[in-house]
Amino acid sequence: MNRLLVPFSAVAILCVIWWRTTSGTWRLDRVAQSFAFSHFHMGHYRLATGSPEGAEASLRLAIQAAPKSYAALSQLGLSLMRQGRFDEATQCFRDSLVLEPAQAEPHVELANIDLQKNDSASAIQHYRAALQVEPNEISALNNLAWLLATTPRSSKEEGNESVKLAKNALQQAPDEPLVLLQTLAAAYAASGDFSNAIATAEKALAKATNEANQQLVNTLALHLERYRSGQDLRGN
Amino acid sequence: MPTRTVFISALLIALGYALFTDRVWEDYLITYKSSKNLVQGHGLVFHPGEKVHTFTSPLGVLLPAACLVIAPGGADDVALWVFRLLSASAFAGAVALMFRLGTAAGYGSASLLALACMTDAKSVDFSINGMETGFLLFFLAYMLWSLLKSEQKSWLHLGIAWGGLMWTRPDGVIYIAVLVLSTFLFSKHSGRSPVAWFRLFLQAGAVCTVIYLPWFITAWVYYGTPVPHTITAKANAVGSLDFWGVVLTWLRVQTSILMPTTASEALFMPSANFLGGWPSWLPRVSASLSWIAAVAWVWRGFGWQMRALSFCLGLLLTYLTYFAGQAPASWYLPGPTLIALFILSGMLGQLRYVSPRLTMTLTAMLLGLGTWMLIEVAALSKVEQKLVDEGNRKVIGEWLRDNATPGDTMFMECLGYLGYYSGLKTYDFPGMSSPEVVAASRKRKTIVWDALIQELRPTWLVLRPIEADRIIRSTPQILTRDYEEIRVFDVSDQVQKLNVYGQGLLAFDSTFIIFRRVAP
Repeated sequence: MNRLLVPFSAVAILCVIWWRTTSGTWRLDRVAQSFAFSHFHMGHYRLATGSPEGAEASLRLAIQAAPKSYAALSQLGLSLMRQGRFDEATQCFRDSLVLEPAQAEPHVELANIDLQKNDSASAIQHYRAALQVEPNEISALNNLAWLLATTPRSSKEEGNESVKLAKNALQQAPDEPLVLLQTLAAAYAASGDFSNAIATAEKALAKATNEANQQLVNTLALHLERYRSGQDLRGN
Repeated sequence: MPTRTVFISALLIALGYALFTDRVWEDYLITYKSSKNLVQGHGLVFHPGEKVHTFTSPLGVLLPAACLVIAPGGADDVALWVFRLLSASAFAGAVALMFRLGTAAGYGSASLLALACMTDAKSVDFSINGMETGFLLFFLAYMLWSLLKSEQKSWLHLGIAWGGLMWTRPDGVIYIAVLVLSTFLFSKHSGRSPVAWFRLFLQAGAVCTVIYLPWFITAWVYYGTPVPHTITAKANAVGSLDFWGVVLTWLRVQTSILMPTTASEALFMPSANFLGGWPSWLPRVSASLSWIAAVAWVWRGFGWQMRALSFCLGLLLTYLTYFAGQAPASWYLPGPTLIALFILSGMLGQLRYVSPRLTMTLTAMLLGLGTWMLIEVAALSKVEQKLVDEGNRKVIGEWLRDNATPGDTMFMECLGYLGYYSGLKTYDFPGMSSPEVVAASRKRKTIVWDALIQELRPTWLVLRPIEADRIIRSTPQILTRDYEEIRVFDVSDQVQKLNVYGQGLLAFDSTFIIFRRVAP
């Protein structure tokens, strides 16, 4: 057997050399994956530090390296949104959802774009889709609750649903952010429960005053006035 | 095939690899900085004036120092090449010893064993890149030879091998302990009584103590502790030992064919394979081969030596898996790989009596795989060295040296090139050069970088994108308020185009973001 090892090794080396010279293209596909990872993190870092243009450049490199990276597509959509390029962003989020439908973030961002375009019906659909994937997605819970509580012509059932969503959102955030309290108050009003609407709005108002958030203090004062007069924010 | 041919072949492969790649693993520069400080009269320390034991291997620091002393003009390159020659010779010696061992054990496959050892990419790579691996392999092979085949004064040979292992790495004690345990468990048919084995180990232990004690005492007196700070820092990051956790890990290793989430996956893989860029089937092949070698002890048909080594391999893989999961650092693997190759070639040697054709096919596959990986790793290492290490990390170190002010400090993970070329006071993670990092980690009871940075307030941060992204997600004010981004060093566009495997390693170190502290 020992005598055969040398010719066997020689054949093995020749096979390797042949493979190296013929399998380049396939290998380059694999190469790209590793770099996509690095570009993706660079893109996310740039996005978080307020440089959407830099983020876009890195994320496009990530997608070029790994075209099926749905997370990179979603982040690219965000960077485009922050640059006000809503149509391109919409396309990115849609492409990302085609690659991986079980994502909440692209739906939330598509809904946010719809809101920019005053298309609340489509926004509601996207928030609902996001919550199907992630039932506790806090921004989807809050925004959908707000939409249902403030959109004209919505029903009392939708008002009740809005209360449920807003309460769920508050459960996810133990420090009770003002914006969630504001939504819950609006939801109570939309469901016809004005006493709870007033109590929640007063709580929010006290907190906003405490935080010296004058803009929200003014807004909540107006809301409170409406609730006290038996009016919700839908104009009903 | 005479032993001399084996030795020369292995030496030529290692030196050819060194010439082709010119590889310098970054940890060499961590150690070499202490070697250089010693030669220049600053003491055996990383930062002059700070008596910290920042290296793990006494041989790995003292031999380069000796190489630097004899290098004409104190040239770093010459010192490195002399060290490479010594280390490659030790590697060749290990291969030759394994060949002798295989021949003496009656393996018809001793040549296969030798060829498989000399084409193991990690072993070759780490025998020339400035690490102490060549010496570790030599003393490990010497230990196996002393234990299994030495007939005269085996206690002396074994004691010298153990002493050498301890000088190579203090965790050589793990190799010694698991081999002693395995030998006791399977020595029933060894022709030596348990008392005789005990006496042998006792004598060898005495020799080992005599050999290692001078360093042990020197380190204790000089640094105030015999435990290297590198081990203290890593232990702080890893956590404590849990008996049942170890038992569970051993069971996972023994069943790793079903749950391939152990170090078995990495055993026959190239360096840093876990970073990606290698074919997905490769870890599965590696895990399968490792598993076969690690469970061979259950088969009573094998000789006691092979069963003992198989059990020993399982314990070593348990040790690596417990502390590093699927991704142990590359320099921990060549030792267990050497043992696994001994077992596999022994199995193939026995298989040939059953089916010569199957044996030949498997032999060709094993050697083909090893040769292919060696070629691919050589291609990868050449690129890594030229474009990533010298083209990026060294450049960053030099840029920091030119742009930092005296007294500045730097936080980062990759200490080697950055620490060596910047000359700055380093707060590396997990703190191998820096007791301050370990102290900060203990004070904050965490190893999360955000807390360490807030505690230490280094002047500079050198972060990979993934590291910066992690911080920005958890504590954004560190990078948006306390530090400002100064510069990005990025060679990814050059490296990405190259046609080499293992690009995960290249991608990992291709981009760095430099931050400077702006907060008081």
